[in-house]
Amino acid sequence: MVYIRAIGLSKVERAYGKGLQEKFYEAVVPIMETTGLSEVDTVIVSNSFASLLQSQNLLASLLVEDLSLLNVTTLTVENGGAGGLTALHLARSLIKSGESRNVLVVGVEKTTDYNSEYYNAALSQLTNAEFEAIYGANIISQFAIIARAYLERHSVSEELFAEWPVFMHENSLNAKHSQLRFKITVDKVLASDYVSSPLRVLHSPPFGDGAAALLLSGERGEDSLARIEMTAVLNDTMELSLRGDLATLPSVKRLVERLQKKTFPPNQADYIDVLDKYSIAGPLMLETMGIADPGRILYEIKEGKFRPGDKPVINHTGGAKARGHPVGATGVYQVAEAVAAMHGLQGVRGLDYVEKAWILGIGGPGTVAAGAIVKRV
Amino acid sequence: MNVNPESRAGIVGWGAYVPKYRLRMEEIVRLWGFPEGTPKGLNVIEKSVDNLDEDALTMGYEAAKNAIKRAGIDPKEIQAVFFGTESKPYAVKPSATVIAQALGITPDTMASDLEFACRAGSEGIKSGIGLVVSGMVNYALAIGSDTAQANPGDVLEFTASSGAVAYIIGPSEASTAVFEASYTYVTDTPDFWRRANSPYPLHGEGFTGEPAYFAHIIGAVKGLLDKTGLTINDFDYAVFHQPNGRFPIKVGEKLGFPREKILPGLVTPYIGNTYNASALLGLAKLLDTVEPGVRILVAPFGSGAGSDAYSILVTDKVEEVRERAPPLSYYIDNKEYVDYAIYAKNRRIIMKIR
Amino acid sequence: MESLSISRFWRYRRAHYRLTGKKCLRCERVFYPPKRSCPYCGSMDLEDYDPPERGEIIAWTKLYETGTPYTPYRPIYLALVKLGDMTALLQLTDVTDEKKQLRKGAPVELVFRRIKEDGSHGLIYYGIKARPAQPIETQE
Repeated sequence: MVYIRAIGLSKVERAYGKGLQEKFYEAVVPIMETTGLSEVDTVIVSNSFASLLQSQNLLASLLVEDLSLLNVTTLTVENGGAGGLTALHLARSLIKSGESRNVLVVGVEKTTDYNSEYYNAALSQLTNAEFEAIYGANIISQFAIIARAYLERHSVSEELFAEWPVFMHENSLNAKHSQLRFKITVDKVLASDYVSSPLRVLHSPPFGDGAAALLLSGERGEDSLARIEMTAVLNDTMELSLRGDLATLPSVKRLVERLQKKTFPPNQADYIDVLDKYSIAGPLMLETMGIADPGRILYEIKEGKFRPGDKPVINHTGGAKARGHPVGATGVYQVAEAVAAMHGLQGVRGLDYVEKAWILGIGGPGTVAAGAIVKRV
Repeated sequence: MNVNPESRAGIVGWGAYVPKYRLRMEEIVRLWGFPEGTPKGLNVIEKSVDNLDEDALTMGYEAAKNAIKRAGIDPKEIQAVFFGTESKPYAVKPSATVIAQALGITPDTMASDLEFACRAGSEGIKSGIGLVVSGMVNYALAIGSDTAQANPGDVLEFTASSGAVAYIIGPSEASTAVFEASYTYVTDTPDFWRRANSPYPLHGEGFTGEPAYFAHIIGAVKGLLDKTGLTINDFDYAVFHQPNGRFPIKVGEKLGFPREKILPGLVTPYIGNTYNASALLGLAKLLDTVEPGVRILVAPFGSGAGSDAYSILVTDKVEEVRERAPPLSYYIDNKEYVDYAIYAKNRRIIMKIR
Repeated sequence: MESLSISRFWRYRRAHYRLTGKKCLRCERVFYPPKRSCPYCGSMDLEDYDPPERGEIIAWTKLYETGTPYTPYRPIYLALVKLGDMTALLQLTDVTDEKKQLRKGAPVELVFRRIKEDGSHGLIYYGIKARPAQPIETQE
């Protein structure tokens, strides 16, 4: 069994005064202050764009220098927005195999060091560079095409689609570290400009920097917060042109099947967090999980479901839309937040009834899907 | 009559391309303070404008693709590609190779870009004729294409426009139109030029007329008539280089052609002067519409200066291949007007740092 | 000049210039971009497939959040386009009437355009885009 012993959540922000080093350190501080790092033998860092945006490779090895960790196994993971959950999957595998005993998983991303044009170019790296990005496509355009297919398929209006960001902003108030902690309205969403039709500014995650950390151990201790029941990572095609049905995410479908086979179905979860990239990925993933029938989840959200007290509570901390989406870090946030909600830690509104959590992420336009099932201990 | 070597070659396929956007003359009048009657004096209503992602090469490709469709040949049978332009995307690096590669003609082919102001495309045709007649190649592709430059505010800006035309030259038996004869007339006459690193050409205003345009076209046409024994009356249509809508009519009058033989091949009033495509688009327009058996006089002109006069006999095959590609009218009719701002952006005359 | 790679584009010029995809000889499905095995059945028995010049829009978007070096072209239209048996993600150009030209099933034709430029001194990369097609009878 693999246990989460400690978590660290840093503010998702435009941290112009902080680099990768500072954000990384900030996320690890709460762990140093609780369990400490003395038993850590492995550090896995999840990050997507440091190689481009900070001109930095070998990230994990560099960043642990701030922690005075020597003689540890260091590993940097890149799997787009699924990187954090992929790092967790690797950490769990290392512990299960006996190769590692205590693994520090940190997701860190700095997206604000260049202008938006340059960051958009970075986001194009989540598509096929030679055959999609070459035409100017990036992750925004790909989700826009997926969103159009979904909205057309299920005759979902732009008004109804706006319910997602409204819901996420409402939830952002549940966590102090969320980037955008304010409510918005459907009218405000619809008044915002298109970034890539039918996606608008208020469907999009903000640019932000973030870091979150998890300390995992193979042994249950006094301080254990949660148990990782299962993790998985599965691929799909990167190119939209190779997919049959744009209004679904096949990687997520197969991932859900695999996860629930060994554990329990998503509808039995108390807490669900999905990586709602450009808003559209939220409804798509939840419907793929069977939380609502295809095309119906936004109606249920509008009706007021999935709020604190409900089972399941969904995207409690505001999702990519409002908590923010520091790409490689987000998956680590998602897991750390679930644990924080179970115990009321680090500024996350506690939900004492939450025992079982499903956490799903995707990299690229559903090119890879990663998930974790976490139980409170 | 068939003593001329040219007569063993002909046009196997032709293709035209004009970009979708148009600029009304009033925009230029308004912006640069011209007298209102200026465009009327030039007999130009509007001119074509290329999109930001177009250039002489991309337009040349489109025209060549249409020509190959009409020719109905395997692109591999083309063994010479001549790209005539004065708006090369690269100062050094052939455009002909890109077009040849994209159309599947490479690697067993000649390919080069030609420059002779507005006459390079015609020189490509004449070279193609020579190669085909000599038996050195089966087919030659000659393209005339320009995104013509004009100094903003210069009178040239009224007419300088964008378009392309392409001809597949092949054996006369397979041709939709046969070259009966040709005559080229060239002198050193500096009526219009663009220095190596200059973005825009300069010209001699009135000097571009009598000593240049008129003297050379008339020289070429008279040479052709003398050589062949044909008279003006033997031609059903005449197409001359079309720097504006007025000169071709005037040169026709000087030679004795009635307007009705010139107007059917006149395209500049609707799209402007497409430079290397100018007269050759006029010919394409005729091939799109005329009956088999007609005789056409074609005389492109290039500054600097020179003109080629061709006598062309349209064959029965013209009707077989016509429908295989969009006619010039398809491109002329499908248009969208832009203002000077969009034109300036597309023409890249707004200074940006990149 | 950004010094974009020359060889990265050049080695795929067949695909960029002609949109040549692959046809699986086992399941007969066609796909783009080209791969060494069929994404549908896994067969490695493939042949080149040149798509027809006309097709239709499956889904599209108008992208404002462009990255370098596409900003001069902003906004850019991108669409999944069905071309015979093949589907490709392409940039749409010459869009002049969004309501009429951009919808599921709207006809497009392929054109050869500049797709990327390395500043004003570097290379120009040419390739295939799609543009709204006019109703004409003379298509092959």
